[in-house]
Amino acid sequence: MNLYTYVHNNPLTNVDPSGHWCESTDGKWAHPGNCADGTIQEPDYMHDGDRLIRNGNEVGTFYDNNDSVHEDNSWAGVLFDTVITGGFGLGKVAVSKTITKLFGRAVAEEAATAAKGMIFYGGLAGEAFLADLVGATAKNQLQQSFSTTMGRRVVDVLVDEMAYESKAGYLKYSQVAVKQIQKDAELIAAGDIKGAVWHFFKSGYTGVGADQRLLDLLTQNGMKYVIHK
Amino acid sequence: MVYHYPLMDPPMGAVSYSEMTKKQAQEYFNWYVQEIPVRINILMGAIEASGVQNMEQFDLTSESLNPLWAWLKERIKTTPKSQEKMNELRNTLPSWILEDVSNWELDTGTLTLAVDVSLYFAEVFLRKYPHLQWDFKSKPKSDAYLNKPVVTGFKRGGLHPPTVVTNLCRSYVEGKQDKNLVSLFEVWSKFI
Repeated sequence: MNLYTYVHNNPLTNVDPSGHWCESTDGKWAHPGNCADGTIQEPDYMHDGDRLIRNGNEVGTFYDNNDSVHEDNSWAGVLFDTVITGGFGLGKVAVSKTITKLFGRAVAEEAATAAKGMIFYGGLAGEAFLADLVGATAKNQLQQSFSTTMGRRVVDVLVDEMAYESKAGYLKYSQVAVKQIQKDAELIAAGDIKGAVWHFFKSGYTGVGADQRLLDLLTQNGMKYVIHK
Repeated sequence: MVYHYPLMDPPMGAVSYSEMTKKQAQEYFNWYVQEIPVRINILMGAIEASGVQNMEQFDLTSESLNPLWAWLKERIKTTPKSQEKMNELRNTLPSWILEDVSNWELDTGTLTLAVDVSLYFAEVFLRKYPHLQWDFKSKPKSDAYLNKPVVTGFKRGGLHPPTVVTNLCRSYVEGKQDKNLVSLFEVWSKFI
Protein backbone atom coordinates (compact mmCIF):
# COMPACT_ATOMS: atom_id res chain seq x y z
CA MET A 1 0.00 0.00 0.00
CA ASN A 2 1.27 3.41 -0.90
CA LEU A 3 2.25 5.30 2.22
CA TYR A 4 0.33 8.28 0.95
CA THR A 5 -2.82 6.79 -0.47
CA TYR A 6 -5.01 8.88 1.79
CA VAL A 7 -7.18 11.33 -0.04
CA HIS A 8 -6.70 14.97 0.87
CA ASN A 9 -7.71 16.60 -2.31
CA ASN A 10 -8.90 19.84 -0.78
CA PRO A 11 -7.75 22.76 -2.94
CA LEU A 12 -7.96 25.23 -0.11
CA THR A 13 -5.60 23.35 2.15
CA ASN A 14 -3.42 21.46 -0.28
CA VAL A 15 -1.37 22.39 -3.30
CA ASP A 16 -0.93 20.12 -6.25
CA PRO A 17 0.62 22.20 -9.02
CA SER A 18 1.69 19.50 -11.40
CA GLY A 19 -0.10 16.39 -10.27
CA HIS A 20 3.31 15.02 -9.41
CA TRP A 21 3.79 16.46 -5.96
CA CYS A 22 1.33 17.30 -3.22
CA GLU A 23 1.76 19.32 -0.09
CA SER A 24 -0.53 20.96 2.39
CA THR A 25 -0.45 24.66 3.07
CA ASP A 26 -0.06 24.09 6.82
CA GLY A 27 3.22 22.31 6.17
CA LYS A 28 2.04 19.02 7.63
CA TRP A 29 2.07 16.99 4.43
CA ALA A 30 4.45 16.75 1.48
CA HIS A 31 4.86 13.76 -0.77
CA PRO A 32 5.23 12.65 -4.38
CA GLY A 33 2.11 11.96 -6.38
CA ASN A 34 -1.06 13.91 -6.82
CA CYS A 35 -3.27 15.06 -3.97
CA ALA A 36 -6.18 12.93 -5.03
CA ASP A 37 -4.73 9.47 -4.73
CA GLY A 38 -0.95 9.82 -4.46
CA THR A 39 -0.21 8.23 -7.80
CA ILE A 40 2.76 9.47 -9.80
CA GLN A 41 2.15 9.90 -13.49
CA GLU A 42 5.78 10.33 -14.47
CA PRO A 43 9.21 10.70 -12.81
CA ASP A 44 9.17 13.70 -10.54
CA TYR A 45 12.72 14.94 -10.86
CA MET A 46 11.50 18.44 -10.00
CA HIS A 47 11.24 17.41 -6.37
CA ASP A 48 14.46 15.53 -6.06
CA GLY A 49 15.79 16.21 -2.55
CA ASP A 50 12.49 17.49 -1.14
CA ARG A 51 11.43 16.68 2.38
CA LEU A 52 8.77 14.02 2.83
CA ILE A 53 6.40 15.12 5.55
CA ARG A 54 3.63 13.00 7.02
CA ASN A 55 1.21 14.51 9.50
CA GLY A 56 3.76 17.09 10.60
CA ASN A 57 6.65 14.67 10.88
CA GLU A 58 9.59 14.74 8.51
CA VAL A 59 9.85 11.15 7.42
CA GLY A 60 12.57 11.38 4.80
CA THR A 61 13.79 12.97 1.61
CA PHE A 62 12.50 12.28 -1.86
CA TYR A 63 15.11 11.32 -4.42
CA ASP A 64 14.46 10.77 -8.06
CA ASN A 65 16.77 8.70 -10.22
CA ASN A 66 17.03 11.45 -12.78
CA ASP A 67 20.29 13.38 -12.60
CA SER A 68 18.45 16.64 -12.51
CA VAL A 69 18.20 18.14 -9.08
CA HIS A 70 15.36 20.52 -8.45
CA GLU A 71 14.57 22.91 -5.66
CA ASP A 72 12.27 22.17 -2.82
CA ASN A 73 8.79 23.58 -2.78
CA SER A 74 9.21 24.87 -6.29
CA TRP A 75 5.62 25.85 -6.74
CA ALA A 76 4.69 26.66 -3.23
CA GLY A 77 5.13 30.41 -3.52
CA VAL A 78 3.02 30.64 -6.61
CA LEU A 79 0.32 28.50 -5.19
CA PHE A 80 0.24 30.00 -1.74
CA ASP A 81 -0.30 33.32 -3.40
CA THR A 82 -3.06 31.82 -5.47
CA VAL A 83 -4.72 30.26 -2.47
CA ILE A 84 -4.78 33.61 -0.75
CA THR A 85 -6.22 35.40 -3.73
CA GLY A 86 -8.89 33.06 -4.80
CA GLY A 87 -8.44 29.36 -4.53
CA PHE A 88 -5.90 26.86 -5.67
CA GLY A 89 -5.91 25.75 -9.23
CA LEU A 90 -7.64 28.74 -10.72
CA GLY A 91 -4.41 30.65 -11.20
CA LYS A 92 -2.60 27.94 -13.02
CA VAL A 93 -5.40 27.26 -15.43
CA ALA A 94 -6.02 30.93 -15.99
CA VAL A 95 -2.38 31.61 -16.82
CA SER A 96 -2.33 28.94 -19.42
CA LYS A 97 -5.48 30.08 -21.12
CA THR A 98 -4.50 33.70 -20.93
CA ILE A 99 -1.13 33.25 -22.51
CA THR A 100 -2.79 31.43 -25.33
CA LYS A 101 -5.10 34.37 -25.70
CA LEU A 102 -2.18 36.76 -25.58
CA PHE A 103 -0.47 34.91 -28.35
CA GLY A 104 -3.58 35.18 -30.42
CA ARG A 105 -3.78 38.90 -29.88
CA ALA A 106 -0.21 39.32 -31.03
CA VAL A 107 -1.42 38.18 -34.40
CA ALA A 108 -3.77 41.11 -34.51
CA GLU A 109 -1.06 43.68 -33.98
CA GLU A 110 -0.11 45.97 -36.76
CA ALA A 111 1.80 44.08 -39.42
CA ALA A 112 4.33 46.58 -40.51
CA THR A 113 6.55 48.94 -38.56
CA ALA A 114 8.57 51.72 -40.03
CA ALA A 115 11.82 52.67 -38.30
CA LYS A 116 15.07 54.30 -39.28
CA GLY A 117 14.42 54.08 -42.97
CA MET A 118 13.17 50.53 -42.91
CA ILE A 119 9.67 49.31 -43.47
CA PHE A 120 8.99 45.90 -42.05
CA TYR A 121 6.26 44.06 -43.80
CA GLY A 122 4.75 40.62 -43.65
CA GLY A 123 1.60 38.66 -43.07
CA LEU A 124 -0.05 37.95 -39.78
CA ALA A 125 1.48 34.49 -39.81
CA GLY A 126 4.89 36.10 -39.91
CA GLU A 127 4.10 38.20 -36.86
CA ALA A 128 2.79 35.23 -34.96
CA PHE A 129 5.81 33.20 -35.97
CA LEU A 130 8.10 35.93 -34.72
CA ALA A 131 6.29 36.18 -31.39
CA ASP A 132 6.49 32.45 -30.89
CA LEU A 133 10.11 32.25 -31.96
CA VAL A 134 11.39 34.71 -29.40
CA GLY A 135 8.95 34.33 -26.55
CA ALA A 136 7.35 31.91 -24.19
CA THR A 137 3.96 30.62 -25.18
CA ALA A 138 1.12 29.06 -23.29
CA LYS A 139 2.65 25.71 -22.70
CA ASN A 140 6.21 26.72 -22.08
CA GLN A 141 5.87 29.77 -19.86
CA LEU A 142 5.57 27.63 -16.76
CA GLN A 143 8.14 25.12 -15.58
CA GLN A 144 10.40 25.49 -18.59
CA SER A 145 13.54 23.45 -18.45
CA PHE A 146 16.96 24.51 -19.69
CA SER A 147 20.07 22.44 -20.13
CA THR A 148 23.20 23.87 -18.51
CA THR A 149 26.74 22.56 -18.10
CA MET A 150 25.70 21.59 -14.56
CA GLY A 151 22.55 19.73 -15.52
CA ARG A 152 18.97 20.72 -16.13
CA ARG A 153 17.36 23.73 -14.57
CA VAL A 154 13.61 24.00 -14.35
CA VAL A 155 12.43 27.58 -14.09
CA ASP A 156 9.22 28.09 -12.12
CA VAL A 157 7.82 30.93 -14.18
CA LEU A 158 9.26 32.74 -17.17
CA VAL A 159 7.77 36.12 -18.09
CA ASP A 160 9.45 38.35 -20.67
CA GLU A 161 12.44 35.99 -20.48
CA MET A 162 12.83 36.81 -16.78
CA ALA A 163 12.93 33.75 -14.54
CA TYR A 164 10.99 33.80 -11.29
CA GLU A 165 11.89 31.34 -8.60
CA SER A 166 9.73 30.78 -5.55
CA LYS A 167 10.84 29.16 -2.34
CA ALA A 168 8.65 28.37 0.60
CA GLY A 169 10.33 28.05 3.93
CA TYR A 170 13.88 28.80 5.00
CA LEU A 171 16.48 27.75 2.45
CA LYS A 172 19.50 26.28 4.12
CA TYR A 173 22.98 26.52 2.67
CA SER A 174 23.67 23.43 0.59
CA GLN A 175 25.55 22.47 -2.53
CA VAL A 176 22.22 21.87 -4.24
CA ALA A 177 21.13 25.45 -3.56
CA VAL A 178 24.53 26.83 -4.61
CA LYS A 179 24.38 24.82 -7.81
CA GLN A 180 20.92 26.11 -8.58
CA ILE A 181 22.12 29.69 -8.29
CA GLN A 182 25.12 28.89 -10.46
CA LYS A 183 22.83 27.41 -13.09
CA ASP A 184 20.78 30.60 -13.14
CA ALA A 185 23.97 32.62 -13.46
CA GLU A 186 25.00 30.52 -16.45
CA LEU A 187 21.58 30.94 -18.08
CA ILE A 188 21.84 34.70 -17.67
CA ALA A 189 25.39 34.86 -19.05
CA ALA A 190 24.42 32.69 -22.01
CA GLY A 191 21.37 34.84 -22.71
CA ASP A 192 18.86 32.03 -22.26
CA ILE A 193 17.12 34.22 -19.72
CA LYS A 194 17.33 37.96 -19.20
CA GLY A 195 17.60 37.70 -15.45
CA ALA A 196 16.30 35.91 -12.40
CA VAL A 197 14.41 36.96 -9.30
CA TRP A 198 14.14 34.67 -6.31
CA HIS A 199 11.19 35.05 -3.95
CA PHE A 200 11.15 33.56 -0.49
CA PHE A 201 7.79 32.89 1.13
CA LYS A 202 6.95 32.06 4.67
CA SER A 203 6.27 28.47 5.51
CA GLY A 204 4.60 27.38 8.72
CA TYR A 205 7.12 24.60 8.89
CA THR A 206 10.52 26.19 8.40
CA GLY A 207 10.13 29.95 8.48
CA VAL A 208 11.23 32.21 5.67
CA GLY A 209 14.35 33.45 3.93
CA ALA A 210 17.67 31.86 3.20
CA ASP A 211 21.18 31.46 4.49
CA GLN A 212 23.01 34.79 4.06
CA ARG A 213 25.69 33.09 1.94
CA LEU A 214 23.03 32.12 -0.59
CA LEU A 215 21.57 35.60 -0.62
CA ASP A 216 25.06 37.02 -1.14
CA LEU A 217 25.65 34.59 -3.99
CA LEU A 218 22.45 35.73 -5.66
CA THR A 219 23.54 39.35 -5.40
CA GLN A 220 27.05 38.61 -6.64
CA ASN A 221 25.56 37.00 -9.72
CA GLY A 222 23.32 39.93 -10.47
CA MET A 223 20.11 38.31 -9.31
CA LYS A 224 17.45 39.92 -7.18
CA TYR A 225 15.74 38.34 -4.22
CA VAL A 226 12.67 39.29 -2.24
CA ILE A 227 11.83 37.92 1.19
CA HIS A 228 8.10 38.00 1.91
CA LYS A 229 7.86 38.06 5.69
CA MET B 1 16.37 55.42 -48.99
CA VAL B 2 13.67 53.18 -47.63
CA TYR B 3 14.51 49.52 -47.37
CA HIS B 4 11.60 47.14 -47.49
CA TYR B 5 12.35 44.50 -44.93
CA PRO B 6 10.21 41.36 -45.13
CA LEU B 7 9.30 39.35 -42.06
CA MET B 8 9.91 35.63 -42.10
CA ASP B 9 6.97 33.98 -43.75
CA PRO B 10 6.40 30.43 -42.53
CA PRO B 11 4.71 28.26 -45.15
CA MET B 12 2.56 26.46 -42.61
CA GLY B 13 1.05 29.53 -41.03
CA ALA B 14 1.11 30.42 -37.37
CA VAL B 15 1.45 27.09 -35.66
CA SER B 16 2.90 27.51 -32.21
CA TYR B 17 6.09 25.55 -31.61
CA SER B 18 4.65 24.13 -28.43
CA GLU B 19 1.69 22.73 -30.36
CA MET B 20 3.59 21.19 -33.25
CA THR B 21 3.60 17.52 -34.02
CA LYS B 22 7.00 16.05 -34.67
CA LYS B 23 6.24 15.99 -38.39
CA GLN B 24 5.29 19.67 -38.36
CA ALA B 25 8.41 20.48 -36.36
CA GLN B 26 10.55 18.68 -38.93
CA GLU B 27 8.88 20.57 -41.79
CA TYR B 28 9.35 23.86 -39.99
CA PHE B 29 12.94 22.99 -39.25
CA ASN B 30 13.65 22.19 -42.91
CA TRP B 31 12.10 25.46 -44.01
CA TYR B 32 13.84 27.47 -41.29
CA VAL B 33 17.32 26.17 -42.07
CA GLN B 34 16.74 26.85 -45.76
CA GLU B 35 15.74 30.41 -44.92
CA ILE B 36 18.89 31.26 -42.97
CA PRO B 37 21.08 32.41 -45.89
CA VAL B 38 18.10 34.30 -47.30
CA ARG B 39 17.60 36.13 -44.01
CA ILE B 40 21.27 36.98 -43.71
CA ASN B 41 21.19 38.41 -47.23
CA ILE B 42 18.17 40.53 -46.37
CA LEU B 43 19.99 41.78 -43.27
CA MET B 44 23.09 42.63 -45.28
CA GLY B 45 20.93 44.51 -47.75
CA ALA B 46 19.45 46.56 -44.93
CA ILE B 47 22.86 47.36 -43.50
CA GLU B 48 24.11 48.48 -46.89
CA ALA B 49 20.98 50.52 -47.51
CA SER B 50 21.50 52.27 -44.19
CA GLY B 51 24.70 53.80 -45.55
CA VAL B 52 27.40 51.49 -44.24
CA GLN B 53 30.26 51.64 -46.72
CA ASN B 54 32.58 48.84 -45.74
CA MET B 55 30.36 45.83 -46.27
CA GLU B 56 33.40 43.55 -46.55
CA GLN B 57 33.75 43.70 -42.78
CA PHE B 58 30.66 41.54 -42.46
CA ASP B 59 32.54 38.39 -43.35
CA LEU B 60 30.91 36.00 -40.85
CA THR B 61 33.93 36.04 -38.55
CA SER B 62 33.73 36.72 -34.83
CA GLU B 63 35.41 40.10 -35.45
CA SER B 64 32.48 41.13 -37.63
CA LEU B 65 30.16 40.85 -34.65
CA ASN B 66 31.50 44.13 -33.35
CA PRO B 67 30.28 46.34 -36.22
CA LEU B 68 27.13 44.24 -36.47
CA TRP B 69 26.22 44.98 -32.85
CA ALA B 70 27.08 48.64 -33.35
CA TRP B 71 24.59 48.71 -36.20
CA LEU B 72 21.87 46.77 -34.40
CA LYS B 73 21.96 48.61 -31.09
CA GLU B 74 21.24 51.90 -32.85
CA ARG B 75 18.01 50.40 -34.15
CA ILE B 76 16.61 48.86 -30.97
CA LYS B 77 13.18 50.25 -30.33
CA THR B 78 10.59 49.49 -27.71
CA THR B 79 6.87 49.90 -27.64
CA PRO B 80 4.52 50.03 -24.63
CA LYS B 81 2.66 46.85 -23.97
CA SER B 82 -0.97 47.29 -24.87
CA GLN B 83 -3.41 48.00 -22.08
CA GLU B 84 -5.12 44.77 -22.95
CA LYS B 85 -1.91 42.81 -22.54
CA MET B 86 -1.12 44.52 -19.23
CA ASN B 87 -4.62 43.77 -17.96
CA GLU B 88 -4.24 40.15 -18.89
CA LEU B 89 -0.99 39.99 -16.96
CA ARG B 90 -2.55 41.76 -13.96
CA ASN B 91 -5.42 39.32 -13.95
CA THR B 92 -3.32 36.20 -14.14
CA LEU B 93 0.12 36.68 -12.65
CA PRO B 94 0.62 36.65 -8.90
CA SER B 95 1.22 40.15 -7.56
CA TRP B 96 4.80 39.33 -6.56
CA ILE B 97 5.70 38.64 -10.16
CA LEU B 98 3.67 41.47 -11.59
CA GLU B 99 5.74 44.06 -9.73
CA ASP B 100 8.76 43.12 -11.82
CA VAL B 101 7.10 42.78 -15.19
CA SER B 102 8.04 45.59 -17.53
CA ASN B 103 5.43 47.66 -19.31
CA TRP B 104 7.37 47.70 -22.56
CA GLU B 105 8.47 45.20 -25.18
CA LEU B 106 10.74 45.22 -28.21
CA ASP B 107 8.85 46.34 -31.28
CA THR B 108 8.28 44.15 -34.31
CA GLY B 109 11.06 45.76 -36.32
CA THR B 110 13.58 45.22 -33.57
CA LEU B 111 12.53 41.60 -33.15
CA THR B 112 12.87 41.05 -36.88
CA LEU B 113 16.35 42.56 -36.98
CA ALA B 114 17.40 40.75 -33.82
CA VAL B 115 16.33 37.39 -35.21
CA ASP B 116 18.22 37.93 -38.44
CA VAL B 117 21.28 39.15 -36.57
CA SER B 118 21.00 36.04 -34.43
CA LEU B 119 21.09 33.86 -37.54
CA TYR B 120 24.28 35.65 -38.59
CA PHE B 121 25.60 35.07 -35.06
CA ALA B 122 24.86 31.36 -35.38
CA GLU B 123 26.53 31.21 -38.77
CA VAL B 124 29.69 32.66 -37.27
CA PHE B 125 29.75 29.76 -34.84
CA LEU B 126 29.00 27.17 -37.50
CA ARG B 127 31.85 28.41 -39.68
CA LYS B 128 34.34 28.53 -36.86
CA TYR B 129 33.38 25.20 -35.30
CA PRO B 130 32.40 22.69 -37.97
CA HIS B 131 31.14 20.12 -35.48
CA LEU B 132 28.24 22.40 -34.57
CA GLN B 133 24.98 21.94 -36.43
CA TRP B 134 21.35 22.97 -36.54
CA ASP B 135 18.92 20.57 -34.93
CA PHE B 136 15.73 20.57 -32.90
CA LYS B 137 14.40 18.69 -29.89
CA SER B 138 10.90 17.36 -29.46
CA LYS B 139 11.53 16.02 -25.94
CA PRO B 140 11.14 16.71 -23.12
CA LYS B 141 7.94 18.68 -23.58
CA SER B 142 9.08 21.09 -20.89
CA ASP B 143 12.21 22.04 -22.84
CA ALA B 144 12.43 25.79 -23.24
CA TYR B 145 13.29 25.40 -26.91
CA LEU B 146 10.86 22.64 -27.71
CA ASN B 147 10.70 22.10 -31.49
CA LYS B 148 12.71 25.25 -32.11
CA PRO B 149 15.80 25.10 -34.32
CA VAL B 150 18.90 25.33 -32.14
CA VAL B 151 22.62 25.03 -32.77
CA THR B 152 23.82 21.86 -31.07
CA GLY B 153 27.26 20.52 -30.24
CA PHE B 154 27.97 22.67 -27.20
CA LYS B 155 28.74 21.18 -23.80
CA ARG B 156 25.29 22.19 -22.68
CA GLY B 157 21.89 22.64 -24.25
CA GLY B 158 21.54 24.03 -27.73
CA LEU B 159 22.01 27.66 -28.63
CA HIS B 160 18.73 29.29 -29.61
CA PRO B 161 20.07 32.38 -31.35
CA PRO B 162 16.83 34.41 -31.45
CA THR B 163 16.41 34.16 -27.69
CA VAL B 164 19.96 35.09 -26.76
CA VAL B 165 20.11 38.05 -29.14
CA THR B 166 16.69 39.44 -28.22
CA ASN B 167 17.67 39.13 -24.57
CA LEU B 168 20.84 41.03 -25.40
CA CYS B 169 18.68 43.76 -26.90
CA ARG B 170 16.46 43.81 -23.79
CA SER B 171 19.53 44.09 -21.56
CA TYR B 172 20.78 46.98 -23.68
CA VAL B 173 17.47 48.79 -23.26
CA GLU B 174 17.78 48.32 -19.51
CA GLY B 175 21.19 49.95 -19.51
CA LYS B 176 23.45 46.92 -19.35
CA GLN B 177 25.75 48.20 -22.03
CA ASP B 178 28.72 46.01 -21.13
CA LYS B 179 27.12 43.13 -22.99
CA ASN B 180 27.34 42.84 -26.74
CA LEU B 181 27.51 40.25 -29.51
CA VAL B 182 31.24 39.74 -29.02
CA SER B 183 30.92 39.11 -25.29
CA LEU B 184 28.02 36.75 -26.02
CA PHE B 185 30.19 34.93 -28.54
CA GLU B 186 32.93 34.60 -25.93
CA VAL B 187 30.53 33.17 -23.37
CA TRP B 188 29.27 30.52 -25.79
CA SER B 189 32.80 29.76 -27.00
CA LYS B 190 33.53 28.52 -23.50
CA PHE B 191 30.88 25.87 -24.00
CA ILE B 192 32.66 24.41 -27.01
